[in-house]
Amino acid sequence: MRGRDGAADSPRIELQRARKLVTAAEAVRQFPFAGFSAAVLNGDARVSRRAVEDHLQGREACLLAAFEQALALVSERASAAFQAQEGWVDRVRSGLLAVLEFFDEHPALARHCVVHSAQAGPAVLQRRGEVLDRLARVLDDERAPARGYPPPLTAQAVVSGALGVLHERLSQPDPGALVELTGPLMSFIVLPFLGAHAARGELRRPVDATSAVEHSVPFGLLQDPGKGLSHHRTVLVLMVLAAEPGLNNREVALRAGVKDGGGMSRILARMARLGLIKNTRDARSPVPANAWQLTASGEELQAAIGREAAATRVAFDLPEAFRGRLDHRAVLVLRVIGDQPWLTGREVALRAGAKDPAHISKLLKHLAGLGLVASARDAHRKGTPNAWRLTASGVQLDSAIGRETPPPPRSLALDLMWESGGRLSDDAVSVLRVSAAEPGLSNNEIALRVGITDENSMSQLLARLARRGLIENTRTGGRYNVWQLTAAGIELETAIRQETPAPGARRIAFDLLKKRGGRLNHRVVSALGVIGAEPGLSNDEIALRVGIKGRGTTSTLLARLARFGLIENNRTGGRENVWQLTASGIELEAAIRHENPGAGRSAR
Amino acid sequence: MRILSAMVEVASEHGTESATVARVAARAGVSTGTFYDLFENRDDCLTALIDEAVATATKRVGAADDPQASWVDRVRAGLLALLELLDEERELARLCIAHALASPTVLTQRRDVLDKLTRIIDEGRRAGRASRNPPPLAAQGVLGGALGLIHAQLSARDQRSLVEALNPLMSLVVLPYLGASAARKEQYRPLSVRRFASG
Repeated sequence: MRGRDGAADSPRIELQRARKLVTAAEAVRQFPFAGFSAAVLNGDARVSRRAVEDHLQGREACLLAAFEQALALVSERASAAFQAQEGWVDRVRSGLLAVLEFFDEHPALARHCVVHSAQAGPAVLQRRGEVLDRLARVLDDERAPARGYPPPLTAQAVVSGALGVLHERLSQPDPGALVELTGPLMSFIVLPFLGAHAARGELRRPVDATSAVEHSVPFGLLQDPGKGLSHHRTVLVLMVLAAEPGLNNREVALRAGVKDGGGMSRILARMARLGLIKNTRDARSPVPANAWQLTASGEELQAAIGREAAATRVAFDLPEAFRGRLDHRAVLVLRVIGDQPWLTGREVALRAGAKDPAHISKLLKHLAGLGLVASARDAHRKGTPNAWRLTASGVQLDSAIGRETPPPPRSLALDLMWESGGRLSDDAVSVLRVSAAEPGLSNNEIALRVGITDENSMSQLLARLARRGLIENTRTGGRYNVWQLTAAGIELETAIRQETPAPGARRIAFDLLKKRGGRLNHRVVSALGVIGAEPGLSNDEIALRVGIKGRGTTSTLLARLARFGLIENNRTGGRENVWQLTASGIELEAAIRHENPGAGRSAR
Repeated sequence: MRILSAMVEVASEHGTESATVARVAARAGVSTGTFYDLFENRDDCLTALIDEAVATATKRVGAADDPQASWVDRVRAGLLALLELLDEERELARLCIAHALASPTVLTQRRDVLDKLTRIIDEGRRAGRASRNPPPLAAQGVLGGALGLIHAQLSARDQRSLVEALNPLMSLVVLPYLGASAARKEQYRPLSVRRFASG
């Protein structure tokens, strides 16, 4: 919204304007014929039809202006919260929470937006309808084009339903805190799209879990006593060394008021490890003593703390109760996530060298509470772990801490995945690999190859990948989709292939086989090896090489492998089948061979 | 009743705002004096119209109800009866929905009707598995969603039959209570439209 000079108005002015417009609109709504004389209203005096229509139009314009202004404010809030999150569920939840918070803060605007706008004239109703349609489209992002479910009207119904609930609450004289509806409404919203499990999860989720507010690091350090990343002594040491560089341990302890010499040494050592201070002692001196001074990172952190402390009038002379610790493991985790975003908690633990993933999980939760890291989850996949990234504050702290060794190379595959919308599941990766190996497969063919038995799940997965721009449906006619990788999909698939270590590929391959067949049959392995080594064999020839006596057993085995999309029959004439591996079969056979070089060949 | 019918006609032609007493009386062929003998004002007339409509809807839905049937079939029968009525009386439905939201007196009545419908829908909790545990706002949300869709179709002056929306609506209603499989079943269930004798 812009003022008369064309400059953007401050949010406060916008809010004041909205309040005034809504007050005026309420007056117009409650007293629609204010300004008309009693004689006119009683029908004793004639008034032209034009005058009445002008009046009604003015009233409608007033209501519309108030609605637009209130809508602009709530949209701005919701949109910012929505954009701040990753993943459909978190975005929707964050947007909803922002709307509910706004409504709680401004009940008059809320009533106007939700309740009174429904009672207005056609112009407002039309605008209201447009807004609802837009919201439905946001939700409908989850309803994939390749799916038959949920039904087409779901998004509109969900939006209308949520609005109906708010309408009901806001129609009451005391609507209570609308924020409390976040969980129940989210549960209702996600149910048709993600199922009962996700709906129950939303109900249990804490209300402030998706708040888009990210705290600044130094202020967080000062405000969060005893929770790992804060330590008033650290701050004091920073201040002391900023004022007097080159002090030794004892001098720093004296100025910082620390009596415990051992404790002071530990603090200094930790700060040095974190790259905040450095020891500039001269080893050639006859009496070598430590001489501490701030590093560039230390100076930056000290300056940031100084700025924010001044801004918030927090004195550095902190109370005794303030006893946090700058936990080196927390910093390590921060660094790991900074070096490679979008890792899962387990991966973070692995890279941070933590033996106990539960401890890392706790630490991540705490860092998230401090606003240093944020997580996103691909909510389409049930039970998917969170993927972590640094917030702006986390990045600031990470860069302030400094580093002694260069960061490890980042995973291109992970970055590409995240650019396309989040971490991909194993199934999604399998779909990419299958599509790369055999372009032009239909839904069912892909499902068969990646071992997904549920038709809807397969459609959902394909549609999600299509929405991310990784695959595209090139069907021009007929009943079946024709999927192939897009340029982005090819790039990602290549990166995944290059970065996936052999044991990982082997595990995926074995999992695929287990999923397909229920168990890893040695005959399957042998048959794959035989067909891989000698393409074009018939049933009998394969049976001979694998050592199967019954023709029926051989047929069943080969039919099963064909059904799983691992082999295909290239017979064009004659009585004998002509078997060879499909691209998936080749991949699987190669992976098995990598694990066990003798597999599949012993029978020959 | 002639005046109520005239109100529906005038409101559909000129909009509710312009449905003045003089116009309604003229359309009904009565004097404004007669109008004011029967109603206090225009709003009173609209409220009477809604009362009449709610009574008719209750009667139709009640007639379709079979207490021995399952929850799904009862809800389906009731919804079908309601949609058929709305199809038959589209202008009346449009007017009722618009006025029910605009009039504070009718809002209370609307809330009572919605409460009753919410309770009926929420009986689905007993029909489904206990472990399913539908969201607490399921009934309210589902009802709001269904009404929103009906309202949108009526407001957009969409001439398609509302009965066509029965399956998608039923799918939405049963989903929280009976799960996706039952919802899919409802979506593809054949429509069996009964016609009620008018009047």
